[in-house]
Amino acid sequence: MNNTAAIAAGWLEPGEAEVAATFAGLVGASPLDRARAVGEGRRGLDRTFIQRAAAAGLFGQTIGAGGIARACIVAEQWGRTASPEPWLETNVVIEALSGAGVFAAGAGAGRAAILSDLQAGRALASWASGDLPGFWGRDDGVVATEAADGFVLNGELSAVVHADSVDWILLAARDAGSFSQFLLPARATGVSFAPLNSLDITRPSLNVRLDNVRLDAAALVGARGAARGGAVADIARQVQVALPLAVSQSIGAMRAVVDTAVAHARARVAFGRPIGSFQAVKHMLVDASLGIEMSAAMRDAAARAVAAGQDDAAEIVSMAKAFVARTGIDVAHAAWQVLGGMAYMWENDFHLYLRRLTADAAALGGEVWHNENVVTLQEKGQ
Amino acid sequence: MTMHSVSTGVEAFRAAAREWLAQNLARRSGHEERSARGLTHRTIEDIATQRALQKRVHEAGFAGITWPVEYGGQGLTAAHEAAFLEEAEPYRLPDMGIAGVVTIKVCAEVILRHASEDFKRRHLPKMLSGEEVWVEFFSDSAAGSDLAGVVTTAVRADGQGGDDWILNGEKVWSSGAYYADFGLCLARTDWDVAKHKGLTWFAVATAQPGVTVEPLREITGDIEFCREIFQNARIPDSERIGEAGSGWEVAQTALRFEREASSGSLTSVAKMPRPGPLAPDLVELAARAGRSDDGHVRQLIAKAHADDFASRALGERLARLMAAGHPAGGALISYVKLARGIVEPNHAKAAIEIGGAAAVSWAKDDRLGATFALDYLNSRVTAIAGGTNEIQRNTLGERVLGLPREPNVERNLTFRESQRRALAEST
Ligand SMILES: Cc1cc2nc3c(=O)[nH]c(=O)nc-3n(C[C@H](O)[C@H](O)[C@H](O)COP(=O)(O)OP(=O)(O)OC[C@H]3O[C@@H](n4cnc5c(N)ncnc54)[C@H](O)[C@@H]3O)c2cc1C
Repeated sequence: MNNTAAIAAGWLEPGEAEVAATFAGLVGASPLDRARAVGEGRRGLDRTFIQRAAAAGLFGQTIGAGGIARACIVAEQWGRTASPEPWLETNVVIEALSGAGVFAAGAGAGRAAILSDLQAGRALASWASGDLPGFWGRDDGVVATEAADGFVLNGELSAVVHADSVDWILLAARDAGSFSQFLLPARATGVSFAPLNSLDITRPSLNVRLDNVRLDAAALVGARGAARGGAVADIARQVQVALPLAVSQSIGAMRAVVDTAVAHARARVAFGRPIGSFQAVKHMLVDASLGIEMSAAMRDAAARAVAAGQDDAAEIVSMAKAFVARTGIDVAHAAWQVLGGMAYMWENDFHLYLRRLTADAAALGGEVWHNENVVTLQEKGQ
Repeated sequence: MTMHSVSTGVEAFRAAAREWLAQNLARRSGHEERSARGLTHRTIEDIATQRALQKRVHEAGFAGITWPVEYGGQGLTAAHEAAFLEEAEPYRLPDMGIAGVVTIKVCAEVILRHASEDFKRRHLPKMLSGEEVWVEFFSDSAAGSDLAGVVTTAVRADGQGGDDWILNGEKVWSSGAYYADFGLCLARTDWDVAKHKGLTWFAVATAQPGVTVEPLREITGDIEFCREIFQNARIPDSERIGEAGSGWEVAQTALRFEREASSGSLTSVAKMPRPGPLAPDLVELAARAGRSDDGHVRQLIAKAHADDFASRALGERLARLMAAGHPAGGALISYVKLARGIVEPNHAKAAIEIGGAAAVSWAKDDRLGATFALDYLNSRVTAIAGGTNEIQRNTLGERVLGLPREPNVERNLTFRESQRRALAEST
């Protein structure tokens, strides 16, 4: 065995160490237990765990507390442990509810209570991000019509993560000649679920049917229709917050599989040598680690662009998403190859990460969508 | 020569620089002709003009801003240098091509760290003033990646004149040597010790007897790098850099600065890059091919644009990690070199795919058209020169990921013996 430390594996950036230590304390000695329990259908979401995470400042107040850069660090930890909880979704919903101009007339005290429940982990939210008008997916999945003191919603949302396990679902619907966003109580009358089989078993998704679901006026989130820049502008802001976080979760997963593969390559012997001394293996792992660092560099740039409100922020977040979508899958496959037959065993955690990285790539607009978006934004002069 | 005192504040220095630049240097035009491995061949006369310009920059006190005063520098801070570079941005600074960069960014760094005091006082001020242009005599025809395997040999001229060395052998691919004054030369001074123990560095004057510099035509058709033949070239011992036999330690400095020079310096204050315009060459080729609206072409353009941005953002990130004390330290630079060594050929291949016929043939007077082929032919420079992608991967795998080295077939052998065995095995 070679005595050089696996340098990249152990070292943390300033700011990461504190988050990593708190997170490690939170998840305990078997950090993937929750992922497996959900993935194998043995247990639902662990609400006690979520409340403990929130109390430790790692769940529902992540963006507000330290800005998007810190939220990215937290996101890496959730990704690194293949955590099943709707961390990203809940944070995006909090961001949408607390953002500028969001408290629509009549939203009142009820909204503040929802927000504080979400922040404390007492309530969970999902985001119907498979269909985002102006972005990707269908834009006529759900149609809203105005009714006495509120709205009536009809239609279907596709592939909503944890839809039947959360309390709220943020969705976009056709409304008032344009689009509006609504906060749907997941257990409202007229809501029904069709569970899907998902490659990512740690984050099951469901189609959600809405049949004459009545919402009061306070369920409207942000601008209505085309008013005040319109819901599409609100959604754009949510997407800009969501993508650096989503990408960070993928980076955490990539780090987990590459650290495992490097450790394996140092320890496993074949033909009288550790397999990591074979260049075919060594070079594959280096390229994977390069992919991680380039992904992280893109993420850093994206987080800063969003925090500073740069005019190229939309372009940078799309570039980061496209890059990480492709790289996440490549990195997972490199680790897969290096782990060999070990990777093929259900008991090995590798497949949980493979499933997640692959699902991450497809979520929130895949590589192809974001590539086209970058070109279009450039043609329009941002 | 003008000396700016250390007590000169950064802003006063900036103001002096601004005034001097405006009065002495030409502004850049929108469309600069490309030189380094570019369209215009660098003639000796052109370089002479640039040397004269460099002399004026030096005399005005704007060369070697952070270098010690005794070596011709100004002894000022990195902030002073950054201020000068910011002010100089719109101007055309003296450009001595690739060798100009190598003189300051690689050779001078090695000399500062390893040469004798006399040597430094003799050469460094002239390197700053443009009087001495230096190039790398690293690779032998017989040894590139395996730099420690050079067979160019220097032996003591015992009995024939004191301390001199007699140099024989052949160096190759030395960029810009045809207009250079000195080569920083790695030679074997002992064949009967282990490979890495028998090496020594020398300054070799290109104009001295026994040295022939032969310009070589490159893959692009242009002439930039050269071959040097050494036939009993006599080198005074005072032109040795570092102890005899310590060449491999000195080489670490040389290779580190070479990697940095070809990765964009990470030691300077790194700024978060912006994406900038969409890959202009690819957009132009798509337009020429009438494929600007083709979905596949747009994907290729976006991918190249993102890869380019990622490799620049990587430089900023790694500079930050190094400053924060990442234990792999300078080895991280190899990530940037490798990233570029992968991204640049991919970009070039995308250009060919997008442009089709428009990328591979162009009208005689179409200078822009010619750049596409040129960029294509130059696209593997970073992947090969100054440590190939595979060498960067070995370094990163061992020094950053902590993976085991390959078995060393040369262990416990003298260089002479290992050469003998390798020759017996090769066909
Ligand atoms: C444009 C250009 C400019 C240059 N400028 C200079 C200069 O100014 N001064 C100078 O001294 N040199 C210069 N060089 C030389 C350059 O540094 C060498 O070409 C380079 O280091 C590779 O060496 P080589 O060509 O001998 O290839 P080789 O070492 O023979 O390698 C050939 C192939 O084998 C692979 N290989 C070799 N060893 C290993 C290994 N251990 N593991 C895996 N794969 C391996 C390489 O990666 C490569 O793919 C220049 C080269 C170019 C192309």
